[in-house]
Amino acid sequence: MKTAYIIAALIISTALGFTMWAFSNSMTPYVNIKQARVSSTPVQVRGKILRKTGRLPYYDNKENALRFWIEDANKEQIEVVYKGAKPEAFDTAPETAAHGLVRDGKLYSDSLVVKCPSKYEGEKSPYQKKKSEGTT
Amino acid sequence: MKEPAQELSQIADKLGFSILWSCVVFAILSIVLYIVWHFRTPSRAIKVASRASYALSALSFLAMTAYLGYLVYARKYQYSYVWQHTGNDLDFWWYRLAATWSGQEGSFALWGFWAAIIGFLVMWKAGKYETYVMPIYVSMLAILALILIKQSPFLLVAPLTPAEIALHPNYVYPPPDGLGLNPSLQNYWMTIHPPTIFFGFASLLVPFVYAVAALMKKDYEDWVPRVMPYALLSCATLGGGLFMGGYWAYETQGWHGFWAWDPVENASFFPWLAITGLVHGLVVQKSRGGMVRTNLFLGIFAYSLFLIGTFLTRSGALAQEDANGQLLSVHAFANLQSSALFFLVLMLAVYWGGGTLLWLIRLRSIPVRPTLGDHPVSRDMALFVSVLLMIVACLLVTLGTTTPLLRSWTHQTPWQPKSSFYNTVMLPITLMIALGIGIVPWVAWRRTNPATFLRKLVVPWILMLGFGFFMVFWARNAQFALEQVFDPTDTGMTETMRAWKDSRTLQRLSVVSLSALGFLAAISNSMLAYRVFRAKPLNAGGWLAHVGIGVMIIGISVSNTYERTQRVVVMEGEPAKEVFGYKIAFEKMTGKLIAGRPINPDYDMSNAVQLRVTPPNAENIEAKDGAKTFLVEPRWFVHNKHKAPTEDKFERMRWPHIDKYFGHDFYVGLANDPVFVFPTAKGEEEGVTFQLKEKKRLGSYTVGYFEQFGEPGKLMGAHFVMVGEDAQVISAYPALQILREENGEGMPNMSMLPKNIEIPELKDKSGRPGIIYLDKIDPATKAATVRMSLPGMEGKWAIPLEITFKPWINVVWIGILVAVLGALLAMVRRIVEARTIKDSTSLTPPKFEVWETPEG
Repeated sequence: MKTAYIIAALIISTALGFTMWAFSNSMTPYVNIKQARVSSTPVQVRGKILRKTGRLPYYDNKENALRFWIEDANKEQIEVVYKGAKPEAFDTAPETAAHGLVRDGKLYSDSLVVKCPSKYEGEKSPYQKKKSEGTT
Repeated sequence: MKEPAQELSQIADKLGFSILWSCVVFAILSIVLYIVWHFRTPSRAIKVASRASYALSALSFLAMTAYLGYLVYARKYQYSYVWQHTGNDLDFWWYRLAATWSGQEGSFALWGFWAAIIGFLVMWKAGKYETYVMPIYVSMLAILALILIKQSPFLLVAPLTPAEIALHPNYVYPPPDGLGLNPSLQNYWMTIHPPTIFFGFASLLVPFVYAVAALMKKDYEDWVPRVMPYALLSCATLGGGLFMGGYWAYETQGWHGFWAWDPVENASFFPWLAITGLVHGLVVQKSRGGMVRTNLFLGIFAYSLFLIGTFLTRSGALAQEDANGQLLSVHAFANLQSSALFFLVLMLAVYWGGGTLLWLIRLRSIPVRPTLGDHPVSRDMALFVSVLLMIVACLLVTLGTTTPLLRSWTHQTPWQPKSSFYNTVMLPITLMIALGIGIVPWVAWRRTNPATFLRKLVVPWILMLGFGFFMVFWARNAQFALEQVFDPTDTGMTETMRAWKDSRTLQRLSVVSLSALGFLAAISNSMLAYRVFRAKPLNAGGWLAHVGIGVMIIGISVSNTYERTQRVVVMEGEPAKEVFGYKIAFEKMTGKLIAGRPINPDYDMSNAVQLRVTPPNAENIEAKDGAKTFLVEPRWFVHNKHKAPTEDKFERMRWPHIDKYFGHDFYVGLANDPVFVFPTAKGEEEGVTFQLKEKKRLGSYTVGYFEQFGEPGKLMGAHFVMVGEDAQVISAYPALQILREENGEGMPNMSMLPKNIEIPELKDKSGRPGIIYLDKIDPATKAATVRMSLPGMEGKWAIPLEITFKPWINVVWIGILVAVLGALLAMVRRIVEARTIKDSTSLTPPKFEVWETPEG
């Protein structure tokens, strides 16, 4: 069993060290818009997707990019230029976390995480209310 | 007065709960009777009663699932669950039934459904283990029933009170239609993926109960042959289920990939790693008698991991946002209610905690075989290392998935590792696993003569080197091809590409070594599988599974590294765009126009954007029917168009088109919804701006802005007059409705009145009506900006595409299929072997089988 234990110890310790290294490597800092504007490495910014006249999300077919504005917790706003397939839930999503880099005052993003709203949230259906009958 | 129909449904509702309670009651009865049986000299009556109680409990659960299936199929919309998960637009009977497991409660029901069925098999085959395994087994069923009582699919939609009905004039009860099944689930994989993967999950319970039984009995050998068929069944069905999920995502979700290291995917992946580790450990124990403690641990751990995964994905632990608002998963999580969650946590604590505690207590009394693995080049060692690697991989994936939770518990900012983390840590592990699989056919149990070993390895080694050299050149070409589409200034490049750019030498080295080792694994195991198959067909299963894994490793490393993605916009009526040598041109939109919404064709699932593709070597193609081109139809459709009140509330769904070839897939996805581009007047960026009373010549029409109308705070409109060459005068009244709800930055939120967009009197050649779209009106000067599409000056569709060239993707699918078939074959072998188990044999020392040795 001795050889086996030595090999096991080797594998586990290597895996552990390698994991720590990979772990710290894959971390993307999470910042607000103000910090994102001065960052030279990719960051993640989270914000509310604005949907009002003048700031509506639209598809820019010249750049082949989805463009929209987000507003962070400090009420600061930035335009996001997203080059990638539009997430399925984007149209109804209230918020997004965009991964990317700010250039010329715009956040060029390559990945969006979109929070799915629960189905038909906010729309008033008379059947929405649940009631239990005969439960314990 | 209640209507009779409503009265019936109240009764029916109670029926669902009664069946669930009957499951719980008979389960408890069964546990009690089994305990009595265990501690007293069993009478025939006790035996029959114990088994009958289990049967009744299991049948109750099956009946409950069948009843739920019936309610969903029969569209009983008075049930909240039914109302939420299906709808009248669901036609195909299989989808109507499959909607049963589209929700949280339904998936718990599916889990219990399989557990109940597998339980009969366990009870029938358990022999002297029956009084140990069955009480634990049936208790699981009871907890599942309790979860469904707390989080019930049998709740009714509440009827409104008369006062509330007054607010909803069109109110009817029961609801006439449901919310419908999410279109991404309306796919044939939906009908087969959840049942398969939940069968795999449910079957994990069997190794768990046997491991616990073995610990209680202090009989650590006899459970091995009994549990082997079940472990292989779990391994095959979970593996198959994972594959189906991946294929589903690849085909319909438009991910351009099949695996994203998402928590939901990981939660089904780590139990698979544990159960596959157990399968290998059991083989060692059966053949050489070692790894007893590891196997008992893995038997308990595999099922516990499934429970942990269920907890992570159902509890909302990962759905929460952290302090920074990091969003943790792309999957939508529906959270369990806290009372149902309580049972889930209880289950986790009792089964995982209890099992592990028992294992720790018994740890010292479990025999260790000192001779195992004392020789580095032996099959014992190879299997020992492979099990260890699988455990390490399993822990890493578990760790990565639970990171957000662990960090929030330690009051750090929760953060989730990106897929690059998993790709990086899995690379060395996969390399070692591929090497291990590649050499294990040529090592014997206990000890191998190094000279013999090396001699046997010569042929596979040479073949591997040949393949490796081929890969070096292939990768070089693939890299050139990748470089052509690679724009270093583009921040929108994918993660794979960025990783590749950062370290192209390392990347190429990894791909070549990984695929070469995968090839070694495939070739070595095929050689042995062929030989074993000719002697004893059933014994070839394990080797065949290894062939599949080797092939899959080649496929994954190549297809993920050398996929190429390019984004283009194809315009209606413009020359074709060239991507990877394919020329792509707009053919037509196949949807019907919605009246009043002419730029929003009424897409349902069978409609599509049609594009004509000319393949790279079109000139050389021997045209069969004269067609050197083909059509692709990435689909784009609106799935709540009947329910959404306004156009901006439409939910749109995009499905990619995959053109399959032997060596690659040509994957055409819509990068965004198609955009209707309006023509612009000279010198203007967007639309056409008119001053009041101004006239302009647009196309073959003279268009004049006649007057502005509206109501302050409610409506702003403009009256336009168009005069064509035949002197026909047409009026249009585009208007903007001012919505009160959202109002930021002093700008009113306005939406176009849909019925005023279309000008039906004007039709162009393709039958599209004239369109006038009011962008804005300046309240002070009354200047109006409009977008127009008129005959002679038509707007056109812009189709944003994301096209991926995926090489060798079929290799992945072939590998997985072979691996699953191999595991199933191995299961058949172990079932045949398990038939010979007699309950009395456990007193004799276990006989270790002699495996097919390479010397033979």
